[in-house]
Amino acid sequence: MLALSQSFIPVGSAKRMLVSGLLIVCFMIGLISLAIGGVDISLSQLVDILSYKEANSLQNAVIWEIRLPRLVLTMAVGAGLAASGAAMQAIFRNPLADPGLIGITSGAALGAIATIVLGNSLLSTFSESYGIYAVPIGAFLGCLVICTLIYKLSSQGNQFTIISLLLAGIAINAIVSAFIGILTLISSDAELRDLTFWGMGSLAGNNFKMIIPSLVVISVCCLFFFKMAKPLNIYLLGEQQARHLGVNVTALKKQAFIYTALCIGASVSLTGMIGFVGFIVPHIMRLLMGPDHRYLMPASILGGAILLSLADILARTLILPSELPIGLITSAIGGPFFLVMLLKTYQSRGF
Amino acid sequence: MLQAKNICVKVGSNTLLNETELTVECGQLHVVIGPNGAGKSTLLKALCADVPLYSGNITYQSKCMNDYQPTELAQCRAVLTQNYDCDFPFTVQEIVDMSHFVHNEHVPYEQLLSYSKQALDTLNVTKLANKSFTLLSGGEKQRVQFARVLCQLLPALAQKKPCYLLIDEPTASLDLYHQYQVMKLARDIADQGAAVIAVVHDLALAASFADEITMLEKGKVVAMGKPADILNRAQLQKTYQIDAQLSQQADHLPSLNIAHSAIQ
Amino acid sequence: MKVKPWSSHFVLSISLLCVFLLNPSANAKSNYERIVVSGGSITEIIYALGEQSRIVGVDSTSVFPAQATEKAQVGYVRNINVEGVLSLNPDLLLGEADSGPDKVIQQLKNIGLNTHIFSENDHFFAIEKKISKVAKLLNVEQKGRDLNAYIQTDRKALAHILSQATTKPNVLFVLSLKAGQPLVAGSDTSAHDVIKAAGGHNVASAHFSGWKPLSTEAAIATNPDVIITMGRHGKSQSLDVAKIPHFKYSNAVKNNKVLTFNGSYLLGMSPRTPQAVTELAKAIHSGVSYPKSYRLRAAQTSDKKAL
Repeated sequence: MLALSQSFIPVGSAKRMLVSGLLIVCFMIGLISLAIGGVDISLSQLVDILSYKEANSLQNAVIWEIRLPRLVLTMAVGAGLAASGAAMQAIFRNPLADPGLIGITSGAALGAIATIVLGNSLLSTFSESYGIYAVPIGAFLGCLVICTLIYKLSSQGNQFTIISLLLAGIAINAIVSAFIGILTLISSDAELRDLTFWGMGSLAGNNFKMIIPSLVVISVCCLFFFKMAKPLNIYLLGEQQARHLGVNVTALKKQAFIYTALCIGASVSLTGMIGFVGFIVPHIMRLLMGPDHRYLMPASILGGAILLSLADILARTLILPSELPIGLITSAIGGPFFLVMLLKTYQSRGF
Repeated sequence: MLQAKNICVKVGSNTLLNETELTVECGQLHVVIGPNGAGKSTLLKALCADVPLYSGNITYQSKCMNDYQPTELAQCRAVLTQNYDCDFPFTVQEIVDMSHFVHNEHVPYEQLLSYSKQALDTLNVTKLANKSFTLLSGGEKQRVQFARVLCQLLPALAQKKPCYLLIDEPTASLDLYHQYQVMKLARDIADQGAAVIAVVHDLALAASFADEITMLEKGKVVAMGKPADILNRAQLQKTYQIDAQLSQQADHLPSLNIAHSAIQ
Repeated sequence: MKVKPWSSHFVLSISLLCVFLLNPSANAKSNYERIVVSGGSITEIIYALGEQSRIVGVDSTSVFPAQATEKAQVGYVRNINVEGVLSLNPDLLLGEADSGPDKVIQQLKNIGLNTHIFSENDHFFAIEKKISKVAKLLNVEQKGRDLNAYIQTDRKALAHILSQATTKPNVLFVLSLKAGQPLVAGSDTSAHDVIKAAGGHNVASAHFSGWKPLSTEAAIATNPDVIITMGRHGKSQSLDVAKIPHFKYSNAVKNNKVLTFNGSYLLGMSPRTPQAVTELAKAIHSGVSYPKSYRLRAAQTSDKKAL
């Protein structure tokens, strides 16, 4: 609330203005992202291409086959990671929580790495019949299997307690990393390289056909996160308090977990590990406009899309014609930026 | 009417409440007292289903508590608990407005806003409305939470529907003035038709506002009735092991006189 | 002892280029003039063919010769950047079998870029085949034949050495010591092929395939006669290998048979590899000699100093 409480504009409309501002920034970043890249495309040419005036050129193919699907995926994944992060932070009632904490991402990692390493032997039929889709499908399935396991472990009877969710997540994380270790050990040199790159994340190489399933899942999850805004606000007061105020707390926790699992699974399966976005974006947005999820959710969704698009512009252009892994950029830029934000807040609040 | 019949609460092999009975009519302020560890807070938690019952049952309006939908019960029952650990910087206004959640569908928005305003005014926290909850003092936090709880009940009170307010130690972090203000408010809410159950430590406060008192000791009800009948010297000696009695001067609320010998 | 074989090819290629420029109708069917290469051995082959002026971009494994690293970089062979490739305005992407990711290759094809990705992984006995293929793609088949003939000298020298060899020494290839345990080549590795070709027995191949760390006692039990390590930029690991308990008591250390080779020279499966294997064979067998007329010609490292 720091930024807004001193202003003379009513708080609600100031927040709405901020969200609209983010929407505009998001749109502009999108345009910039389309215009920048290894292949030179002028702004007027871009407009021609987007309005179907120019076809059959290399530039046209680059926009429609490469940059646009990549941009859409980047924004969706950024939005999905940030929205899941916001939901996790609410469900744990802790601004430091992250979807990685409860084993969701490690499930996807296990699925992807298993597909990469066993794709030539144990899973060869699966790997051959799905081709370039095999690793994303493997990652998504891995995420679902591990999350179902965590879900079953943490729901005892009618309860779905956060502490058991956390403990199950930590235990599963440990077991999964052991399996990943085994897979790494038996992997060949080439597979080892592939799984290392998977761990650093990449948004490259996806066409529209590949990203549509992920887009649908992420959009649906974001919609549900958005609908959960009010109960999540109340939940932050405390579990008992929320129940007394009429929130079905157990259902809320279960929904948040399921949507987070789906959203993370759909994002990470196509892109590999992209750290920091789910953690940092909700945090920054909370510093800007307070914890009210009715504004925080849309702001995080937009903020995630903006941050990841910016990071991707850097990843694509910094060492042209080569490319940096996106996960490295988000961590390298996100970390220090976050620290500065944190220090400033502490100074201004005096604690 | 709120009724608890024969309720037992156990945690492991420990019995926290043993065959406790309680009946509170609408319009009454019922105070639960007892020494530390008597089971006062456990009783309140049992009444709002925060702890599971080992046996017995609890009814609101003769309907078993577990048969209510969560939202249905929240429309007519509010609970003020002791501890609030909210690390998220909601403003006071936002916290009070959270009570709108169960009323959104059947009460107009403007009406709800005016209830918020009324609740903030009543608890004397209107000037804190845009402040962050995390920056408030303990007493201010308690009053803000009371405002939220009041706001949750206001629609039911306005429609003269039966409603319930459960309060656990509302005065714990308040100064003397606010202690009496808050108990007076609980009294007013009861007078407007709500059944109010409050756990209170201060016997003088209990005697000043309660219609009826239930005294607990080691998980059992040891006395129940009008304050004057229960807070007598013999009962206090027996339950609290202290030589004390209530006294009342004209134009003053009751106060507790404690014998010198009691603290030697 | 080391001569620069590239310079003569370079002159030749310039003159050939002039011919092409003067006579554009000649060989017009597939004259790729802007090639992006992903894979160090292909880059080496093209340099050896003297056609390096047609390369516009390389991947990060293309480190030999040193001039290749001055070309535009499009990323690591398994992780090349689609727009990076396109920004070089290439007419051909020429890649090793492990070029990728697959979806990026697919995108490049969709956009209409000519791509040629080798379907088989490199093999010591398939080097000539690969050279012929690259030469054919570049429309310089005669140069390809010349290069292959040149390599036959190495093959013959190798056969000459092996014919003198009386034993089959136990060899262990140590990739690195950085992880605490030595990382060793099992079967199904390029190092295994090379050891076999040089007439040695890869002692680790009985235990596992691929590159795996070797425990102390397993290492002692293998007791290799020869240990091969990788050297980079003139620095040698052989001293470290001799110190660690894994190999301290091995025949290799006792007899001072810890050899250091440059990785891309020995394992690159490039035109230099037959010579490297010949050099290896000479080193692991005792009492053998090169054919009289034979001398090492190619450089072991791309360091300008070493050259």
